[in-house]
Amino acid sequence: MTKRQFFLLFMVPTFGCLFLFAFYPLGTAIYYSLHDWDMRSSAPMSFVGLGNFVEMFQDPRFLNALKVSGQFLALTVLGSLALAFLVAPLVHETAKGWRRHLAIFVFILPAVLPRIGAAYMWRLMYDPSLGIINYLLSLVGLGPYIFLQNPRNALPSIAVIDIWQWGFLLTALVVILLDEVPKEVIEAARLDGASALSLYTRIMYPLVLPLSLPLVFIKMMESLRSFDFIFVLTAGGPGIATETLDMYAYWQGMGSSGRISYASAMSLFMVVMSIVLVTFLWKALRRWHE
Amino acid sequence: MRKVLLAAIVALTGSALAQTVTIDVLAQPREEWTLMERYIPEFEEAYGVKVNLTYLAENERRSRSRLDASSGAGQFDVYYIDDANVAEFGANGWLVPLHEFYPEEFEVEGFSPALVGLLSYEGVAYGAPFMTEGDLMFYRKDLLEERGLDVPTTLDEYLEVVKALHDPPRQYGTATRGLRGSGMNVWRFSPYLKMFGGSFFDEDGAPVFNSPEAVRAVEYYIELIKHSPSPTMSWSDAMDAFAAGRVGIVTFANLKMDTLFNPDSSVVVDRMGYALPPAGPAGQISTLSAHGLGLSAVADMTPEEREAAANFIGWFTSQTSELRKVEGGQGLTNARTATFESQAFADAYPAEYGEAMRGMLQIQELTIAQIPQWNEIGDYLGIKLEELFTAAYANQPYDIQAALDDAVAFANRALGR
Amino acid sequence: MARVTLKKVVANVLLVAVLVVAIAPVVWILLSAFKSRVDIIAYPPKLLFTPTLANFERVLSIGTIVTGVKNSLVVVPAALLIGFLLAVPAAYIFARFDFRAKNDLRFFVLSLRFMPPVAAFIPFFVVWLRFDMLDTRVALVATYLSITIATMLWLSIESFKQVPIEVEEAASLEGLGPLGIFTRIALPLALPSLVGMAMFVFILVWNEFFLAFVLTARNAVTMPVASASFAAVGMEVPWGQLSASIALLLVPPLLLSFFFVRYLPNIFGTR
Repeated sequence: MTKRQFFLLFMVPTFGCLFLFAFYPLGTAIYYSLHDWDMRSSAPMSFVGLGNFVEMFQDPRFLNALKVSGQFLALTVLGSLALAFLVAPLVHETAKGWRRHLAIFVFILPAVLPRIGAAYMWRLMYDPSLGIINYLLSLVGLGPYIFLQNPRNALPSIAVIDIWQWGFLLTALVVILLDEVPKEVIEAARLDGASALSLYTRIMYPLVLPLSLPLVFIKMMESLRSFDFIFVLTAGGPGIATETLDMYAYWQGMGSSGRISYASAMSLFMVVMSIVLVTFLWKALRRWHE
Repeated sequence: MRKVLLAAIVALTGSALAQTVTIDVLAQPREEWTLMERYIPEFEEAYGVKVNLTYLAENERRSRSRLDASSGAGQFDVYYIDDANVAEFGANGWLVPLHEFYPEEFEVEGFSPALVGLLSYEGVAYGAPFMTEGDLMFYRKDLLEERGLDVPTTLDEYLEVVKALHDPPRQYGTATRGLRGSGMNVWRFSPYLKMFGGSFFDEDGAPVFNSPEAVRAVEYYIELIKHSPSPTMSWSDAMDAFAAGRVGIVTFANLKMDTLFNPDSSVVVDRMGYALPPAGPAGQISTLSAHGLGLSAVADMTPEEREAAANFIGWFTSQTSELRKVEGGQGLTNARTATFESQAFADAYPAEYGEAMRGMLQIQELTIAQIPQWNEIGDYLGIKLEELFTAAYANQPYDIQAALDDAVAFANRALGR
Repeated sequence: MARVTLKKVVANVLLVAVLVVAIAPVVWILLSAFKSRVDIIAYPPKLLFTPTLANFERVLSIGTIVTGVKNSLVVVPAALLIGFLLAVPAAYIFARFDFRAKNDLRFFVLSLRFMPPVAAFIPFFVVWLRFDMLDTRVALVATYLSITIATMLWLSIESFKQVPIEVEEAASLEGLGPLGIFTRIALPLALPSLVGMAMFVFILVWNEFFLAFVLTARNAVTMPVASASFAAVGMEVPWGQLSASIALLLVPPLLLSFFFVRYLPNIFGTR
């Protein structure tokens, strides 16, 4: 077999599938977004051009969803990173050998849970009357607090769960990366009298940062998939305080409205947004990576 | 070898003869369905049908059944329908009219006529009812006696009692629905709207639920919310809270009695008092609701499947099934006049309760609008109400008039006005 | 000397606290799976109680859950296997070959992987609706392929880059063609880390909820969807049974993570 044959044999079917999966749905989404298909009536749909998009950008609920998605993204990405970079050194310094392996294993556990599993767990824990969190807080004289039913607390409360699930995974990964820093570099810094703090901030983190950027990337994209979570926890409530873009698109398309075309327009918007984000990060990654 | 071949042929022919028809039923998880599940094998054997049940929570059930019908997918042969979505289904022709399919042997005339009327659209009946509900006041006799309180008869008195019994976190005054949904918080709120003199739509069909009367009704309801364990309770949360003995007085569906009177699920069995819902300035009103089963006009069914589905609907709503529910502790989820007048029914519940229920039947009215757009409008209103409730509960600022105006604007758009 | 020890003690205590926070919710729900309803809603929350298997019994007798388990056990491995077959050789090509469209295609794969499912659900829904294939396992596997192929492709490239090129060059000098080098040298050498990656993707797809939720109703529901149908917002939540179904959901990923912890470093290309 020649190189060329090998190439064609293994690239064509794969990319054939991928192109199919990418462009057929995209095509249909574009088609529907330009019409006004509404599931509630059996009437045939008509062409409305950019009507759905115009409506979208003037829809206060859509703009709210944009805001909520943005806030959620910021909270969870920054929160997870903060957790990872604060806890990793602790583990790195304190736990050696089998203890470190145990710690890493424990940190992965939250992430292997299905999102909805984690969501239900925390929903019970956050419950104002039955929940263990309020109970524990009451032991030190605090609370009781309302988490998921309070419009101001709801989104941060949900973000905490996300950080719990993914932040610890990131922590495990950073610990592994820290492990890879050559011993000589650490020795040299110690000999130079570097304190623990500056050891980490000036030496280890800069070395580890380029390799951990893919993780930031992954985390960002995961945060945009918050639907499972939020659906189980608050279904976008209270009111629309936690209604992200995906939640709103779902309600429009499958919920009481049945406006498939409008939901398609929103989906397209999200596609464009994620491509923009991916491009931006891809360029940034390449600067560090290569 | 010949023996094996023979056995195989027998098995194959046997299975071919035993070909059963399969029907798909979309339902909601409710206690009486769990009870009826025990009898389904009996039905399957008698009629040679295999029944596939799918359970979805109310909001999901409504949107899935709509999706199934409107998209033409027609996966389900039998739909669980209620008074709130029968209009939508009727208007779009997604159901077969009741009198066209209901098998004679199960007697369609036995249903309470009011309920059949409730599950109709523009004069055509579509659903076979199996349940009806209205509102009753349930109160803790022991707590009221302890504090020397009289049973309230007006909304103002009711609120006084709620406040008197409110002692968080051990005891809450009341437990009322706050969770969004046209069938959830909006439903529970609807009689209050009427009792303060407001309504959802006027005679021309224009939405008017942002009137001063409506604002007053919301203000009152918010007071109830503030004295509940949580601002976003569902109907089952409220029931659980009362059953667990943590709530003083409630006004909710009479059906909850089946759970509250059952020692396995309630600690207040022997401490309850029953009364009619308290009256507001504009009258004393209880909600009226019916749930039923409808035959899909969208699903691609063979004549055998259609007959099987019709038989299932008939069997499920038959007199026999209803009596079984009474005996099984779910006697309130029924729809036949004979059942409600039977001795078995009277024996199953305390006399006091029976009396309250008879009084309830006199003050029941439809408190929502049976139009195809109701669910959408109600769901949006439910979200606005949930925003108000949670803000009030957390002592954050809120604006009732603005919220109602927003919901009315949405309703106008939905109605194409 | 004393100060160092104090610092160590504090550090260790903190570490334990962190581990507890990480694992407590998981432990709590596993405990709840064995509690009767009375114990679960008890206040103050109980740590000691008489365990019961009733929840598991009830859960396993519910048609939807059993269907969910069966479907997950079919759909996920299928999507994984087909994805593996299509993605891995292509990844090798990206690692070793040079061609004009390389960077663009790589970017394309990346953007596919990172497309939020919500962007794709309507088109998929409508497509399967048109083909009358809603709520079928085949449709679900096909939809999941879009995730598995893209993810496995992207993650495997690194694994192949880790294989020392000299070994491949030596094999080439021996007269082995590209197919031979791939099947006899590169693949076996990259296999450990590929396996780790496959486990990671398995967990990803096993836990997938949104697309399964939208595209299935009764026949093809997967475990996560079946568990969620239990306790949608607005229903009486049977916490005991819900915990039991989550405990069941946890089993495969938990088992797998014992193994794939070892492969974490390999996946992220540092060893």
